[in-house]
Amino acid sequence: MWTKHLKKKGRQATVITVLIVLLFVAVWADINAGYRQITLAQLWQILTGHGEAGLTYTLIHLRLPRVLTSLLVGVGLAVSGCVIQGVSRNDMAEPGILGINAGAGLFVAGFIVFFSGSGLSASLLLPFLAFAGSVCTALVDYRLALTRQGLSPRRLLLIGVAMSTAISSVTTMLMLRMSDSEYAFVQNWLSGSIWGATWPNVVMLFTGLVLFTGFVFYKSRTLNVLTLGHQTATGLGVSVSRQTVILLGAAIAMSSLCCAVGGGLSFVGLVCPHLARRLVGPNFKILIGTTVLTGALLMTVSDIISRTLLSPNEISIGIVAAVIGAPYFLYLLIRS
Amino acid sequence: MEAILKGEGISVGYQQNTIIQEMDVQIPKGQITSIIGPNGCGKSTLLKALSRMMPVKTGQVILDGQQIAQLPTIQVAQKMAILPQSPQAPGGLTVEELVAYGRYPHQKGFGKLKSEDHKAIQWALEMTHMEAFAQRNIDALSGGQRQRAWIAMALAQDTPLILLDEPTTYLDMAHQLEVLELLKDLNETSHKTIALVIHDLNLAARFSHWMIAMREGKVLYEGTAEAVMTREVLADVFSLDAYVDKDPWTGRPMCVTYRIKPVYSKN
Repeated sequence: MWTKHLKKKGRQATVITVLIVLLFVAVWADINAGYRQITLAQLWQILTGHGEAGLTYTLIHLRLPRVLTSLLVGVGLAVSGCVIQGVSRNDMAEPGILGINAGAGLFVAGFIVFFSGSGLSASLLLPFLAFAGSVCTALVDYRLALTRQGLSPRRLLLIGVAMSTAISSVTTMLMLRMSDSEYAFVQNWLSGSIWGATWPNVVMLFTGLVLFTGFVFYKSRTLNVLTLGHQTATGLGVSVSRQTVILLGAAIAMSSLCCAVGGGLSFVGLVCPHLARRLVGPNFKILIGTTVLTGALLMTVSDIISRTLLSPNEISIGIVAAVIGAPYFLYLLIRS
Repeated sequence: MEAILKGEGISVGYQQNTIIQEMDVQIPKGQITSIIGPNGCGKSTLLKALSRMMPVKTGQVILDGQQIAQLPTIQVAQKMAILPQSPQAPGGLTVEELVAYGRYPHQKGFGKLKSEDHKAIQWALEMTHMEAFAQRNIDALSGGQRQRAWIAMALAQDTPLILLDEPTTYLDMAHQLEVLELLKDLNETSHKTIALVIHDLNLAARFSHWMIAMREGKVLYEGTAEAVMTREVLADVFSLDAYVDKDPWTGRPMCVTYRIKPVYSKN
């Protein structure tokens, strides 16, 4: 019995080690994905302040923010999806299903249609607009899903699907009024692309995600019990409605932050928690950490591909993530 | 009779639909109590109301002398464990992990397992004879083993009172008996109070000290197995014409055979 127990622990440790190594390799490859290559020696020079000026600029101001943003967005969406799947006990749930991306998209499209000529700076305002759109949608979802018995996650998901569809169609109508270049921009945004890659955004995203992921990790004991269902969780002493609201709130905040800089990425939040659960099992104490790694890895790899495959053109990272993720997800479903 | 759990004038229902109307009911301390009755009579609803899964519309539920609605849910969970009907565990969860989740009401913060937690988990696995399966996945267990794993989780909660909603459903005769023997053992050796909803009347009569017979949201009869497992009670509660005799092995009352009560008889 104990050997089997240790085997499981050992397997989990191996999985996590391998993921960390892969992530380092991917980050290094992502830093080097572009016109100018950087060697380890040059990296050391740049870090110690003796690097060549041009190269330093490329690394510090162009590559690193981009790499870190995609990595962090992956982490945020994956952990958010992990929590939403756990709380709703629904394997198909992900942040996008709640209409969070659609809401952000609507605000972005609305801004471009109504205010693009007003001289307001789009690149500064868009993250805030996207965040506001996400949060507004989540609040409407929440209000509609609330019944006298409290919040039902199942109802929330159904309402999210409906809201998402409704909002997307309004966005499409708005987009019909756009010029070709505006249309292309919004289309690119909707399918998910890292466009808010600046140091302030990286810092904001990092701080937010550390706080929320830390909180969710601290709550992993409650998440575990919630996956046993409403009744069992109540019997074990969890205030199910309250904890559901708190945890979904944290998940939505995380994915809204990611949406603000990464656009309407879907699929990352769906497939990464599945992958992690497959690797280490459903216990949130280890699952959350593993989900952080799978999310970071998928988005970093997607970023490499999105920037190199059709270089010098870029493919939307969201499309790349879906192209990698979808077949894997199908494989999982067919095998199980 | 000292009651560990009671409902005083409780009405329970969904929205406009009231299932239980102003019921008084008591679960005696230190005993095994079976709640019986036909489908839809409100047995499960009663158990849910008593265990605060469903709010009561009127009246109050009293646990160990205190109003359950006034108690923090975590304190209730330290006194009363509940096993719902056919509970579901997420795929890939091991028996030991599930049983460890039963320690929830005794943990704080992140919930690292302490030595008393390990002791309680070990004890729960031993009582249910699940030590050998501790590292198995729940999905890989047979029906009887799975039910024992869930009972082990409720045991790890380390409460004086355990409520079970149809713990023998979907089990074959031998495994049903095994579950009841386990509950009897827990009652005798660990002095747990046990209340369960159960359909098999003979098992109920064989293992319970106290029986509560319900019909249409009301308690029609309550008392010892000898008092409740009678021809008259079964006729009133289930509309059955039953032949009740003494079990030659256990001496407990049992229903030997039965038929649908002809409409022209009493009532």
